[in-house]
Amino acid sequence: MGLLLCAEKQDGNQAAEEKSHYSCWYHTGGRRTPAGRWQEARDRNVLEYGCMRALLLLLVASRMAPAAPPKVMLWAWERPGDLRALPAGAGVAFLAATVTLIDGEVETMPRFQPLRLPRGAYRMAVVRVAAPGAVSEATQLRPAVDAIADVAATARADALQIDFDAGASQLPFYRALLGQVRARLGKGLFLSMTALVSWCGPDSWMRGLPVNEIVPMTFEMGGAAPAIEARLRSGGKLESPLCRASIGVAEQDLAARPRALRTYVFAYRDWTEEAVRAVLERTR
Amino acid sequence: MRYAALIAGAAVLAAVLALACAPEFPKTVFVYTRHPDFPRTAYLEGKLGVFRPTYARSYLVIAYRYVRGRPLSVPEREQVRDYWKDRETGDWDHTATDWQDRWAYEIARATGAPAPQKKPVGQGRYRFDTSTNSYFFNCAEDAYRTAYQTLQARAARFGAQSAAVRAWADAQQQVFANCDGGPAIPPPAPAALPPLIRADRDYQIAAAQLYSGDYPRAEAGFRRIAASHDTPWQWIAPYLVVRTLARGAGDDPALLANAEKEARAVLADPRLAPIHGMTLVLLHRVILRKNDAGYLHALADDLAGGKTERSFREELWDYTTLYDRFAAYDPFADDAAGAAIQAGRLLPPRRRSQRLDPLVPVGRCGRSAARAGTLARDPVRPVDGGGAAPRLARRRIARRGSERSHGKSGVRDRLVLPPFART
Repeated sequence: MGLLLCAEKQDGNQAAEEKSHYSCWYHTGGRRTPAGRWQEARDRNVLEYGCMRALLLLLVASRMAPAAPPKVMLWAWERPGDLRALPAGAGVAFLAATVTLIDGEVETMPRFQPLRLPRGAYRMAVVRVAAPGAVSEATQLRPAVDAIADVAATARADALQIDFDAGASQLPFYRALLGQVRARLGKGLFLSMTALVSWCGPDSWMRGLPVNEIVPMTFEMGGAAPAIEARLRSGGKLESPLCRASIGVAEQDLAARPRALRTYVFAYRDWTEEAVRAVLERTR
Repeated sequence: MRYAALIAGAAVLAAVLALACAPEFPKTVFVYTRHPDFPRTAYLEGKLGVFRPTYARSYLVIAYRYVRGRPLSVPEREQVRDYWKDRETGDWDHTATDWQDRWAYEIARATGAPAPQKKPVGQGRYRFDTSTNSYFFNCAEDAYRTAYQTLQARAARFGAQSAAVRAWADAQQQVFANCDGGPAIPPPAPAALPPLIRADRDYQIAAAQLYSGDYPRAEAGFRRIAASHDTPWQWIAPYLVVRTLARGAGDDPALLANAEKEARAVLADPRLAPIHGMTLVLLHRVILRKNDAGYLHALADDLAGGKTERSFREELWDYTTLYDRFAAYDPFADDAAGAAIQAGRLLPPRRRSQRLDPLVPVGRCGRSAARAGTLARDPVRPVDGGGAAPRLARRRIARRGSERSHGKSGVRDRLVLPPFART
């Protein structure tokens, strides 16, 4: 493939027939197309321009579409970890910060525990949002979005996950939060959210949320546990289709959960090479 | 008989159904058990009154200094106030100073520009390290205090609106930009600026390199300052060389050994006595990463002898923490340690080293059984010059009782302590 080079002509008369005051030539491997063969070159240029434009569009589109996480993601909560032996095909969703909404204010707690990963590993920064009481859009929404955007900018991860076990009265706030996070960070970021299984009913409030992924957490399910547990163990799926693409599983429950396109695994112990290998075996 | 049975049944039922928590009534406190009377300023200045062996040990150390005839200096008192702030008791007598906020106010006043904005997560203190996917404590509060005091001194000398102070302030803003972001390194000072500002600039450049993680250049810069007699920062530069080496060492044993060698050279040099305390803390916290009886003795010696002008806060942190560990001290059941200090010893009775349990049980009725004890026996390790991390961790402890149960709570509820700060 050649390169279309153009330069402004010094003498317009020389190329009057070309109806242009620009001189263009087709540069191929150091050979310059003679000026007398302009028409041929122009035809080729049109073709070439079309190809380049298509390529550029593809490039832009690929840049716009966020890179999806691998099929297996390991949750790494706040404890020291060494996952440098992480095999290809698995990524890590690490707790990067906790944002607490309390008493009308927003407080942040960054992650302090080191987590070592191999170069090139897929990294998803998780922001845990905790709200022990009532939340206020007027006073807490913007600072919370600022904090989440700060984590995304600082961690420079491949994706961002928000983990907020919002209560019923906090759901409008959560919806607004996700909307503003998406608006702030753009569509180029893969935005994931965790979900309580109680949100995965037939009329889920999560419909239309501006996220790329919803990860129902099928462990420590509280009051909903027995019924959902029985359903999942018998091979059933969660009711809402929104909750079927990805699944969050505790390490010991892997065998008792339906397959999903993507599995997030939580361990109650330190991740070791053996534990990671076992997870990959079981999710194969 | 039937009524008696009914009454007995009702009493039993009432006992079963009754709230387990009795209401709390206000009570009059005549004498505090764990601390002196408010405001603690008088105590800090040597008006001890009748101090009790049940006071938290940090108060007993202060008393010890006065009864030994070695009163606390003004910088030491300032450091005690910062220590109280670390322990979240600074507000008790309204004496706590937020040096970061004070710096922001002062720099805005000096330059006429809006106060610098903190990043929501980094807060002007924590920087994200992509190699460890975590934040670390980068800029301690002492850095802001030093900058605030230097700005005041330079403004008094050259004039707040002078070109010299403006140049100094701009460079210092760049230095602090590295605390939670950057890198931003100030340029060398133009020759037209006064020599003092140029000397400050050399220090600012090395500090910015340290905060931005460029350790080789920072080390070289601090070594040059340590060798110069024309800078007001010569006295602290050898300590900063050690600090830079320790930061750059990470977990590499050879590099840590190099940092240790440098630290021991500082401690062996009597001319560097003003930085011995901070170097001692740095050596044990960050380089050796162990706390032994020898360290406790060294701390006791420093604290008792008034050798801690610049590091009283840090040494008091380590001293009280270590004392807890060696004495296995329960502040509500055992007065032995307090009695030991009262008896003229700053060292606890020898006991088996005890590992502190980082879990603090939360009591019923929303009160933590160990909450008060936590303040006196905080398991959180101190950090260099800051104390923010202990504060954050303690807030987490306080909140645990009110957190809702939700996914991953089993792990979330575990208090995971921050690692040693990177000095």
